[in-house]
Amino acid sequence: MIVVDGRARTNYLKFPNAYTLLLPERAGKGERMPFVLCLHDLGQDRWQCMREMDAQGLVERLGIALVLPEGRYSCFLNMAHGPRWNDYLGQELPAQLCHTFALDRKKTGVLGARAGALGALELAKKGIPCALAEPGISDALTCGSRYWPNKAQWCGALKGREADWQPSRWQAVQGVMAGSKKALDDAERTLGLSHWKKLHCEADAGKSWEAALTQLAACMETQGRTPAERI
Amino acid sequence: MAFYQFALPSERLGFPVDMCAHLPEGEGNMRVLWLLHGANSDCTEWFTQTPLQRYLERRRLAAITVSVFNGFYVNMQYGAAYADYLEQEWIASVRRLFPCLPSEREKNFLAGASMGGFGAMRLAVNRPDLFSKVGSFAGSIEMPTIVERYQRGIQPGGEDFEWAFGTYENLVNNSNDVIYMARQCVRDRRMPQVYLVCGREDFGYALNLIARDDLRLSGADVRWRECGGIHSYDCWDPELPLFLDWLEEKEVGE
Repeated sequence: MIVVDGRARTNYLKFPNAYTLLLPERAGKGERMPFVLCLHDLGQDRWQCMREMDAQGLVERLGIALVLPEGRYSCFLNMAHGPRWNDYLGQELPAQLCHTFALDRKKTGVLGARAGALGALELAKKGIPCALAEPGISDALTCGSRYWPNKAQWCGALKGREADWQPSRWQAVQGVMAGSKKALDDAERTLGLSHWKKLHCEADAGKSWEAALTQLAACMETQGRTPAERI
Repeated sequence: MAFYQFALPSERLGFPVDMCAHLPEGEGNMRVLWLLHGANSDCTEWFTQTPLQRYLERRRLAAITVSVFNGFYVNMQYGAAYADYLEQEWIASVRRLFPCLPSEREKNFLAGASMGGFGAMRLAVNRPDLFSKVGSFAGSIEMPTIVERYQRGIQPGGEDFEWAFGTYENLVNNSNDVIYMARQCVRDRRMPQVYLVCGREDFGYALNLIARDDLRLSGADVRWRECGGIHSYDCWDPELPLFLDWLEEKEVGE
């Protein structure tokens, strides 16, 4: 596996943002790779994925690239009082990546882990194949939950946006989620995701990541969707 | 010399904080300069916009930087509590990682450019026990005035001001008000020595003159350097070796 740590200026965020790119070793031999944006949890950084699962094994086995962007406490959303992280993810970052690396813009997916599920769900609305790993939906949406270090951070991300997270807004959105029964039931109950494919993994978090990514890679192969919006 | 990039956990912020460090190699005492970046930037700014490492080559001076993005080094109205982090956690957590860094106040210095100049002055006057000298390169030290002017539609700015501060009243006569805090430091005989740099064509030149005079009126020891140039590292970079000389107590003319 090739590991590239990058940091590039952004228009949507205004400040530079860091990301780590994980490439299977056969990349760079003339083919453009499918890639998945892996959105980390609150309180984590872009290397959460590498800590929690066998990233190398998965990247080489599936033949896809993983892009691990930094997102701090945004949940990768267009924040209520903060930068437009979701637009950066959906429009700007893929264009930067495909310009710089041999990645295939037509084969993009997104995975959200725990609170990162919110950002992934927003991208799923735009037609990007989506998977959730151990989604922490109601925790992420609740001001005062242990997920949020302080109220100001929750306000910055979500204040005034409660209506966006009602089940009626998610009926037409498709995807797959992997995780414990508790996490999947919470996602189903909070956002009405009963129509999503569910993969139960009661073991460690790494198994959720791997199950979600494996299923997502298969979806991307068959669907070959492009992000709905462009810069 | 050695260069490191890393992220350290923070209990107060609840997420890991990006940093860079330059450390002189080999045995021997060193001093350390804690550096803060400007707006729309991050912890790599001082290393990418200046040949800082080349300037540090023959000095026993470490440099540590940190990312707050557009957080203005305050406890944000709608965001992270960067002020608490910098005042209470940052220095200690970096010293735990690099035990070679000195803890004596006389060997610890702080500086920043633009937004980072405000950040450095703000941190210095809130934790004068940590730093003996502080530098500002075209810093937005008179931040209450700047935000007030933005609210009145005179000063260009952006939503970042609102996300960081709310309204300018949140910056007056409290820990965010550098002049207010400086007066207390002087009264308590703890005020760090101050070094201000600004280009004559900088849009903040007038407010930097006011900051210099306000600090001197408060009783602070302020060294002033002005030069030709606008609000840019093109202006500040040539001044950087002089600032480093001042930190190391070599003579610098005004």
